[in-house]
Amino acid sequence: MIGALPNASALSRRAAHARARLFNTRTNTALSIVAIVVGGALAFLLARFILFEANWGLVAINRKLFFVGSYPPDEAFRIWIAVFITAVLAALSYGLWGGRLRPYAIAVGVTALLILTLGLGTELRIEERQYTEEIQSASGQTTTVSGIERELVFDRGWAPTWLYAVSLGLALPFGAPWLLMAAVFALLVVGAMAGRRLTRWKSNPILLQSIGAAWVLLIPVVVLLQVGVGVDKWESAFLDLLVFAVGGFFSFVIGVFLALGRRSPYRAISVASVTYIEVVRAAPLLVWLLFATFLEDELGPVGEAFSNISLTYRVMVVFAFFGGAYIAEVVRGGLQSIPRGQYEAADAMGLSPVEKYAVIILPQAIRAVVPAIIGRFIALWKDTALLAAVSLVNTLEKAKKVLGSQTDIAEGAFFEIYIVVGLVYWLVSYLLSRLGGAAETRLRVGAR
Amino acid sequence: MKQRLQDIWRHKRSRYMAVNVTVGALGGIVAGYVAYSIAVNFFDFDFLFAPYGSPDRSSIFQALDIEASDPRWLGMLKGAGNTLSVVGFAIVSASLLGLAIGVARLTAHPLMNTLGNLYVQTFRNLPLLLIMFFFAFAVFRSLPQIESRSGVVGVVYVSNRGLALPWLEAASSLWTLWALALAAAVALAWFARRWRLQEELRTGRSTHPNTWGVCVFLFVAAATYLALAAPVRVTLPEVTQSASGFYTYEGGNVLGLGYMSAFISLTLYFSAFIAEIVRGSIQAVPHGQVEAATSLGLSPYQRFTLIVLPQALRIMIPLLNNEYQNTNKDSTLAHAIAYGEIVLISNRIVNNAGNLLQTYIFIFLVFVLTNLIISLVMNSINKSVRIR
Amino acid sequence: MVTPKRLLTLMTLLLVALAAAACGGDSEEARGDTLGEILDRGNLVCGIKADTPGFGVLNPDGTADGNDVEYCRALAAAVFGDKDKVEFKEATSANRFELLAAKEIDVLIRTTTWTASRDANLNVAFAPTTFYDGAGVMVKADANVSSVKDLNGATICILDGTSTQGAVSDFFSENGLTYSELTLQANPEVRASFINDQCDGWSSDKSQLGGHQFTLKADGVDAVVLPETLSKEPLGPSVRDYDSEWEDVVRWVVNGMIIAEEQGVTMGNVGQMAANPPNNTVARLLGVGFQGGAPSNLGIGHGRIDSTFMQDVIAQVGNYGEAYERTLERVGLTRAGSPNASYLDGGLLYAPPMR
Repeated sequence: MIGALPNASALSRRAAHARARLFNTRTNTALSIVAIVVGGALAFLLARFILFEANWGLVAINRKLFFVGSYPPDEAFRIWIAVFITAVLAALSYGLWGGRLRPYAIAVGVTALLILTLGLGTELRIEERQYTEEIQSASGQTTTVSGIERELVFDRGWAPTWLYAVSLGLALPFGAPWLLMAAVFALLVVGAMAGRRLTRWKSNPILLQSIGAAWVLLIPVVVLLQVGVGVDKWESAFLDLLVFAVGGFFSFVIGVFLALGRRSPYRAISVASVTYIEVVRAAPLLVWLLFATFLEDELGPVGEAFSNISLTYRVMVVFAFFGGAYIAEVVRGGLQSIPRGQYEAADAMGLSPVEKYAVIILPQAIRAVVPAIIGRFIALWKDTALLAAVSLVNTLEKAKKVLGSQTDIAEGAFFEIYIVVGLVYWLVSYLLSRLGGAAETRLRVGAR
Repeated sequence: MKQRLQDIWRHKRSRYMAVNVTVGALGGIVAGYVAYSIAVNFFDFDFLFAPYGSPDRSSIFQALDIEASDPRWLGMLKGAGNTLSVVGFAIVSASLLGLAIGVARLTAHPLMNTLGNLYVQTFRNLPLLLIMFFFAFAVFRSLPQIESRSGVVGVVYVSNRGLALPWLEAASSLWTLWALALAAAVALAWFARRWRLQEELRTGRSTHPNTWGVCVFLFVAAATYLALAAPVRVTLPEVTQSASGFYTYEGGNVLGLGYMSAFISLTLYFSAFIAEIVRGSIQAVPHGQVEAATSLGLSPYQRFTLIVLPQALRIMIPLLNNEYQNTNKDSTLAHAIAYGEIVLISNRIVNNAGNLLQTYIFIFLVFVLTNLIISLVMNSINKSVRIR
Repeated sequence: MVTPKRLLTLMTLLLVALAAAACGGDSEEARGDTLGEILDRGNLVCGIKADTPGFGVLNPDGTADGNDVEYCRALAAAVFGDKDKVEFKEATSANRFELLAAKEIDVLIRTTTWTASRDANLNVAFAPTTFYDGAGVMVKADANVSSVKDLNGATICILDGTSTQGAVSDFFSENGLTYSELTLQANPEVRASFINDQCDGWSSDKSQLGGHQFTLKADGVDAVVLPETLSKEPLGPSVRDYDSEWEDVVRWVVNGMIIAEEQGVTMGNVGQMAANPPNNTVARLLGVGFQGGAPSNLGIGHGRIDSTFMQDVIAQVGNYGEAYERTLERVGLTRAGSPNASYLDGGLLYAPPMR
């Protein structure tokens, strides 16, 4: 997913070109100075924090909690299977349709190196120490009480502190997860190479459809893998991803139907679609989430039946219906961009309305708005942060719990932990936005 | 029977009728069911008249501070006011920042370009709630303590209690008159500017319309201020120590941490989106327009304000309308950092009185209404920039 | 895009629909059967506090401990004979009653104060008090303060949605003092704000302040709890309204644990006591016969739970004193001489008879 690196001579040419523009006029000189001062100060502060001030051990010891929360360790294979399938699919897709292979492999390799090797030889453990204290009670008498103080002990491996810091505390010490992670990285590279071998068939409809279907099927497969593990065990980033995947998939389906409904020649259908879209979009997502959480019998027996479903599923329903209203507006834009001739041609060919939309209109309409749809998915992904507001333990809420629960050791680690949690959210959004960017370029190139 | 149904389906008129009636009836049943279930529990407003119970002073306006003895309905209205007072300022600052960054991303200057890109990519891809938490719990908590008197002594103080700023305070009851006079001054300045612009168009000579507008406003404002015997005065904040040793801010206005976190987070987050809108809209203006303006001898500033911006605005405004409505809706997230906006205030009431339905429908109506206002304003601006 | 016209139409429609449906009558309050639901599900879902040493701590790995947690386990022991058949869910001060009303949890055991307005207005019924408490204020030891009345103009940190908010508001207004409130959502946030001097005082129930004072001391922050008690805060479990069978179970598990302590029935001797009860009271408590008589059955749960449920509770969790000893005593909340001593020792703890 890393953009193509230009070759060395192009790079130096570009650098020379850029240098020429930095100080050529008085305005540009002033702008350069401002940019250098601001950028330099920010870079300095960030680097100083990451390399010298931060205590990444706190993140490292809690890293499992940020990704899967208190998921039962015996059942971890269910998540690993999902990770493996996703890795293979992502790698194959990149190999088939992605950019250059070498920078991709280098990026994966460097990440793997950081995460896999830096943790070697490190040991993190919490030491408990019994202690007694005298405290003064309200009436002035002192009582002696004893308690346990926890301290994080961090024996560093071979790497110097600053290098360890660069890995943001995500480094894995040796063990079963280490091997599995190594396998994931290997698959990411091998899969991409295999995909590149298949480029010859990259426009083959069968390959295209089967990989597309595999991506869509991935969602039910991951959910089905969870049968046997209670929904209340879904936590942290895993919960965010599940809610995003399920909610996103259904919001797309609902959105397409709503967009079609809005343009329906039957007035009742279009009025109903418009009403739904406008009502949902009128209120913030938070309000819908709170309502779905705390609703009991306010909406009669239907509301009560709904409230008996597990909260995690209810939230997925809210995401699907909320996202659907927004995607409907995006798809509507796509439908409007289809020239009238397309409809007329379809009619002239004697296609039924269903065939007309399924084969002719919708594929073109959706193609035209793929970047905007991905934009809505990014918004939906970021909205999963709101699960924290309805007492579901997502990554953000887990971070708060980690900050709160081991007050003795995690105190003051607000910056470290929020930065890492931010990185988790940021990375997924960023990858999605790169995907959207790539789709935009590709569509523009292929524009008719 | 089957034959008859087929007949209905074949004829366009009867088919339309059949579908409309069926779907309409279904929709009616759903809507009726929802409305009925709501209505069964809805018409009980006694809880609104009980006292709110505890004070909330996170507002930036004294008039919107909630007292424990306020009735709950007043608390909810003040909560809505608090939502507006963060959204209003955030929209203005996010637009200005977004404009600056959007333009920076368009300049040929490589460093500015990179910094702008970095900014947009950072804030656009982070959840707003996380940004709020980051400011409220990580950044602001590590600010200096109040007793250190950090800031510009006597004017502005920054501490982990909040930001203390100079503020205006009514010195006599004539301040309402002066507020009216200010509104009149804005209108006069507007007319003066327009008149000078027409002069400029007529004579072709530069007539400094903007300078004129500002001068007229300042003159009217100053004249009425003196005429009304200084109806408002500035109060400056100071850090004082109480008898038992506690430090507090006196005078001025203290922007609490909830407000500051919400305001800064909304500004940073939405300015990233607005920057992209600005960039896209300006790029959409045909390059020939700029070239034509250059050949007419307009300065870069004139080219931007007279030629590019007005055309870009036509593309921008519908998109900005959407973004402003999002700002409005996303301000609800500030409830998690203890800013007394509408959701936090209502949740406290639900927590004590249990009237979930009434309070949530009130919140819903507040957002329908405020989004409506944003829409109306944006549409009227849209009309004013239309090609005439 | 949301256009003004469309929204106006929408609002009008909404209001008309509401007005048209206004003729609806009162809905009948349905009777709940939480006990049945718990038995069907096979475990109990207990809403607890996540961050208060001594009362409820929910660790990130899902384990929990604290006095409130002990009562959750006692209920699981009573219903299933297994104290581990309980799932803990965090209830924050701001969302606890909604979670209970929305059936997200079966019982709320989360230092919740029994107040008239909650009893009357919310879908909540209160079981006996497990801890008698009162709101207080804690300040840093270096502040020159000996009474809450010295706090004029101070900023006070309070958890959002607690009865403490009202108690502080009352106390300050009655004494003609002003204060600013910094409300936060969870104790760790309050703690960090207090340490960083974002507020001058920390108000909460005094017992909890004791626990926090203790952990603050471990981090080198000296704090004192001021002598005034601002309110009465009887804390105990709560369940939903109109759910009397489950309410009975909760009520009598708590009462049973108090009676067990009065009678000297402990974790260690409960088996022996059940085999050979020293008196009728113990026999009825444990659901056995006295001196070879027929076993007593008080009918709690109407046959859906064993009449010997208190044996499981005491064998697995212990009596009131044992639960207290394990959790609250450890964070410095001395029981002797406090209102939480048994009435036999001059405290307030007094359970109605099990007969």
